[in-house]
Order: sequence, then structure tokens, then C-alpha cells
Amino acid sequence: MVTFLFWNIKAKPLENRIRRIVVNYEVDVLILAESEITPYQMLVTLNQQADPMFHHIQDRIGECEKIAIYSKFQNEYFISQYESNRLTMRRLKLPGIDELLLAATHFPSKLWWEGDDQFAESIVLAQTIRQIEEEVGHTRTILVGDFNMNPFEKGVVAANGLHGVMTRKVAQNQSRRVEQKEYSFFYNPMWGFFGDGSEGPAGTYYYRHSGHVSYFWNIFDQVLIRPDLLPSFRNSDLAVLTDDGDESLLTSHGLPDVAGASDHLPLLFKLDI
Amino acid sequence: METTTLDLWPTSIDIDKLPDITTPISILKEQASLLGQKTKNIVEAEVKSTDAGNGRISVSFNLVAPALNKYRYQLFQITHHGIELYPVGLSFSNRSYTANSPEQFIEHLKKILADEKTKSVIQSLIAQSRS
Repeated sequence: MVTFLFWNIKAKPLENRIRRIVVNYEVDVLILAESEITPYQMLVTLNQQADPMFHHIQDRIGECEKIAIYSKFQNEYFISQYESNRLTMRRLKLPGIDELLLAATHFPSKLWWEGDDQFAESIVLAQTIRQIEEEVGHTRTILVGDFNMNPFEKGVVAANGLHGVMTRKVAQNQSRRVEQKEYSFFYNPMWGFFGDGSEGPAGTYYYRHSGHVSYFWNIFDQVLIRPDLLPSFRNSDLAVLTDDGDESLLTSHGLPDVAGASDHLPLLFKLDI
Repeated sequence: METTTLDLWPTSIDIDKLPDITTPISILKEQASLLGQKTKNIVEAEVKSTDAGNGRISVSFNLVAPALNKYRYQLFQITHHGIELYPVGLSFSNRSYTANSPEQFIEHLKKILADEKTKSVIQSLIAQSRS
């Protein structure tokens, strides 16, 4: 079982809280967005007591500035396959198990981009992922990150976008054809976290928009799983964390504690690979 | 009619019956792992083998600073015959040593790792990673 943590930390010095999450939730692979913590500081903090110790997983040429990865697995197991400013794709080749493709992104924000811009860019992102899957010869892919889009938005749902669907059963059909072109599904388990029908907070990011349409809770932080990896993933192994194992990441009103932590809540998920 | 396979191989080559042999590479890998523990993986060491030709294997002991875009510094190199583990030639900072036994190899290695140059390179990599 490999445990992953993704967290957008809003450029805050949260290394001690991250260490608590890593220790308390036994994280193997730590993926950070908006991190300004230097690798030196992160390693010194993470490795105070860690056994095995964490490694800074550097990309091939240091091109992906928006995502930082640390892991108990050594650098040699993460083979850099594609890097851009906002996307990193690594082949995770652990001894004795089938390789998987780990993609992590920090997608452009709604602060600067319209929904149509995000949709257009999601098509480019999806094309890149498909191209890399062809290069590596498999679709054992997970895509995790801050998408800055909700699971119901066109960029996440559209066939030529990320094609993330809300049920495992639909995703298990592998792909669907639109205008004679085949598009692979991603399973998007984040749909189940909306509102009060599930345990925990109603999303990963809270924003009270002043205009007419406000969702209040959003799920910008998502993990998408290709059908070929579904046998390795159980929905019960995915959580939106509300504490670091010792202290809450929420305010007394149940909203992300921006002052003490981040405006995003972390995602924790496991793969039985 | 049942046939039996004629197995002419000795049982001493069965993988689970082989004795533990400490190779120069396994000693280097152990030291590489210990460096990471001492520097909290801010400076790591990697051990890379290459075919040196004429049936010889060359092994580099590299220092790696992941925070410096994986900057690599070859600290020293050893060479030995692909089958015979000893003698081993060690090449470090324009100096060469030969070890005819594991004990001699460890002795030379100890001197290289404790050398002022080694300490200075590691300290420099840590200082640059910190900034």
C-alpha cells in the first residue's frame, strides 16, 4: 500500500504541520502545490525522526515550479517523463510492482482565467497525458492536483478534457467514442465529497462569492484514476483531511483555517499496488 | 511415460544456498545510504556501475544534491574485474590505491570518506542547498 498526500499550502511555512500529517498518516509520497518551503527546510523538518527518511524528488530539469514532491522512495524510482511549469509526470517504478504514472498539476486559477480559458487548457492537459501514456505504453495513471475547477466543470468532465466521471461503473467501460474518436475515462471519486451527504467537510476549498452564484464549498483539489488502476483503489482510502493528526485544519466554524494552515484542505489517498 | 529432467548443475548455485559475500559495491551502497541519514538526504550518494571494457567493471561513488537540480559530483571511482572482486583499484583526487582484500578496501574507503576534500565537498553542497 502506498499513501499519497496532496496539499496546496498557499505559499505558507507549514513544514511542521506537514511533518505531523506525514508522521500521523504514514505518508509515503508528499505532493505540494504553492510551496515556497525550500527543499533544505522541508527535508530538515521531515527527517527529524522519519524512518526511512524522505527524499526531495527533483524533476529532470527543474522545470515544474508549481509542484514539489518528497518521498520515502528514492529519486531513482521516480522517472521524470514530462515536465512543464504546471504539470509533472513521473513513472513510479517501485521494485516488484507494476509501474504507474503519477501526474500532478496546479492548474491556472479562476482569479486570472475565465472558465472558457480553463476548459481550453484542460484539453491541452488531457492531450499531454494521453501522449505520455502512449510513450510509456500503459494507462496505469493517476492525476492529482489543484485543478482550480470543480468536478462538474467542463474541463474536468468533457471527453476531450479530463473526462472524469462520477462513478466507478461508468469509468470501468474504459473509454467512449465521440465523433469517431476514442477518449479514455478517468474515475473522479471526488464527486462523493460534496455537501453534507458524506463525512467531513463539504469540499476542499471555501469561497463565498459576492455575486448571485456562489457554491461556497468547492472541490478544486482532486485525484483522478484511470480504469486500469481502479482495482488498486478503494473509495474508503481517500479522505479530505481536517486535521494534521494533532490539531485541526479547520476554524471553529468548520472552514479551512487560512490563518493557521491553508485555504485548501489536503487530500490523502492510498493505492494498493 | 514419465520422463525426469537430467539436472547437472551443483546445488551450491541455488540462489537460496549461496553464501553471503560482501562485495565492494555492497560496501559502497551501505556507505551511500549512511550519508543520506547523516545529511537528512540534503546530500545523497549514489553508486553507479558501468562496463569498463576488457571484462572490467567501473563503479562511481557520486554525491548528489537534489535541491541543486540533482547536481552530481563524482567523489571517487573503483575498478575491478567483473568476476574477481579483488584486487580493487580506487581512484580519488589524483590518487590511486589498490585493495587486495575486503579489509584493505574498507581501510582505503575510510581514508577517502574522512579526507578533508570529501568533507569540504559535502559541506559546500549542503550550504548551497540551504541558500
